Amino acid sequence: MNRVARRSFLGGSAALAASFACPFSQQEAVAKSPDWLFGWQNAASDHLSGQAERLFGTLPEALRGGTLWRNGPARHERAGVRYQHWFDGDGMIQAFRFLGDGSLRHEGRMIATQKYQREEEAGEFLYPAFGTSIEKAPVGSPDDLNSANISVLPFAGELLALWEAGSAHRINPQSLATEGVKTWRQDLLAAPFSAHPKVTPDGWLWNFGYGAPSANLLAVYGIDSQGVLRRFTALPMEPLGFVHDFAVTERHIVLIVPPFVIDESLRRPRTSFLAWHRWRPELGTRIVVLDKNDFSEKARLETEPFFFFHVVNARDSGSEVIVEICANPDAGLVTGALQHVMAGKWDTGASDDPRFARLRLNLNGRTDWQAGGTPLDFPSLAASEVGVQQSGFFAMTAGGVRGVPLYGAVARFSADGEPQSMHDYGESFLPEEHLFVPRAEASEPLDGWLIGTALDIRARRTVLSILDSRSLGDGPVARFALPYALPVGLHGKFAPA
Amino acid sequence: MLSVKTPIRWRRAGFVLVALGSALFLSATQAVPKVAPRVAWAGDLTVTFHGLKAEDGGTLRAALKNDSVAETYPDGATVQAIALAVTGETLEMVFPDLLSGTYAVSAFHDTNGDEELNTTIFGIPTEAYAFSNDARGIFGPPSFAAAAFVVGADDTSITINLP
Repeated sequence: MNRVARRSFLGGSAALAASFACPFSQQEAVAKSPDWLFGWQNAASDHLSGQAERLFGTLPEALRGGTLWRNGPARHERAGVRYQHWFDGDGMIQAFRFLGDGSLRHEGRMIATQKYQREEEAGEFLYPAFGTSIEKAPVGSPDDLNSANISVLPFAGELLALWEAGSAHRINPQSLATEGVKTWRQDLLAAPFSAHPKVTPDGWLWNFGYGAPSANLLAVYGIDSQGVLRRFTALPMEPLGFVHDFAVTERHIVLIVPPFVIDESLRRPRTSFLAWHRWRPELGTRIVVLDKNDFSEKARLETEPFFFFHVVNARDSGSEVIVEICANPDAGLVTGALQHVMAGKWDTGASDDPRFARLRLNLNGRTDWQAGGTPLDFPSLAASEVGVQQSGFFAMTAGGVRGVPLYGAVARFSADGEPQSMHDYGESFLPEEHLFVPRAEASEPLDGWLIGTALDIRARRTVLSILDSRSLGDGPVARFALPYALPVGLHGKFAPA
Repeated sequence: MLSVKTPIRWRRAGFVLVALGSALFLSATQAVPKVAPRVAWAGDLTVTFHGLKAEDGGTLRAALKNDSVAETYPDGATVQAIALAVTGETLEMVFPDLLSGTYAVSAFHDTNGDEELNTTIFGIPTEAYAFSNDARGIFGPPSFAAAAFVVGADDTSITINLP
């Protein structure tokens, strides 16, 4: 099962890589309620608004007028019922507004999905969630249980809150009010639209979506810079399960289906969508490569079994397509730690680590898989390098050995996934995704800022830090603290002024 | 989550597509009584539908199922099927001369006249549908039991609300 992790990686700076300890392996399950568990409670209210306190540093001029948008599960409990998986909770849209006077204002609002509104009315959970079985109301469409809780996308004049198995939701960027679902074409009502769309340097938006459990189809979208759906296809893929991310290059779209798939024999009443999945390494990881221009199928390939949440980047290289991934050897992270964290346990082992991996796809059928690099996840690239050779990238990685969930540090990586510099948040923080924002007069693609939130465990509030991408090791250049703690979230996007 | 009372496998074509689109709503010409003999005749079943969108025009297609074919529900034969033009928010249908027994009704608003419950390619219905008892399923149609009602020796009236 661990053959992926056992493979030696690309080589390189072993000593530095070793200092990036595995984030999870030396941690024990926490016996009593840990001090970080408030990060997995309900948001303090359905509509949060507060002025941040500037703790140190100055908000860079270049970021003023911009907004960091974030999303994540923020309603984990109702009427004494607590969801059993981190990914179950209803989404909350967060706006961190970087004001012209150098101050920071935060606003957060629960996304008024149909599910959320009906459960508000009922005063209890009614619908099945990702990892919790609740069957108190009928489900005729994925949007009946859409929690809009994964990410957010400002695109073509709209702000979209993203889920992955159904529609995106349109959000009013001023009031944060939910305006309804986004239907790209009338015949694509409630069609799956993932939380990891890619905007390529030409301004087009590409996305995919998985049709499971209602259809063994992968949706693929090509949307022009004006927000008009220009290309769509739905590819058969059986069996299918949930798939979180995909890849684009200059010429291709790459769909990657790990062998974590729905087993029909597990589909019984009072079991969750997640519980219908089975790890079936004998299937291998199935890959479909499409031509971006007409969505024609260029190749169906199979490679070694692995699981992943996030793609780092992909590119065309002669007759090959190269995809770089934060790859796990199996699905243990999603069925284990990301579930147990709701009960105050962080109990992952080394085999659960996502690590830098490189997949070479020869469209004639040969594949090459190199895994086992540095532990990392939540990658962030320069927007100008999406789909082409990156000069490097940023990602969350392990800091010192701690009993705190997720990743303790943010690091800059070479194009080959070798760590180059990092900032370790230390024991009292639980950092979340950090996003790269280029400087306007940037000297190189990775010259800019990293913006990221973290839970300040001791002060019990959320902080936002800004780091200079050229000197991560010096620590943040500025930090702001909100007057409250936000539930630990998933993904975001920075929209400049 | 999935109703286990039905033998349908919700694969490929989607959870409601197979069951509702091609099986439940057989066309009106297939109204073949298929019931056991020596059962007392009852009267008529009157079904009043509410919540129709008259502006969509089209036809309301309803199928009546009997528990004598429940083992194959919802694939089983339809006892009677009726299609009526939608002209208002409510519509009344009469299924005449029924044998006493346990029945269920399914219906959909055929707005484009193709005699099928239309769905997206992902199997999500794009036309309104409903069942007796206003029963709804979870990732599929409700079980026969959830939609079932008894027709006795006299005339019977039920109401179905389209969502």
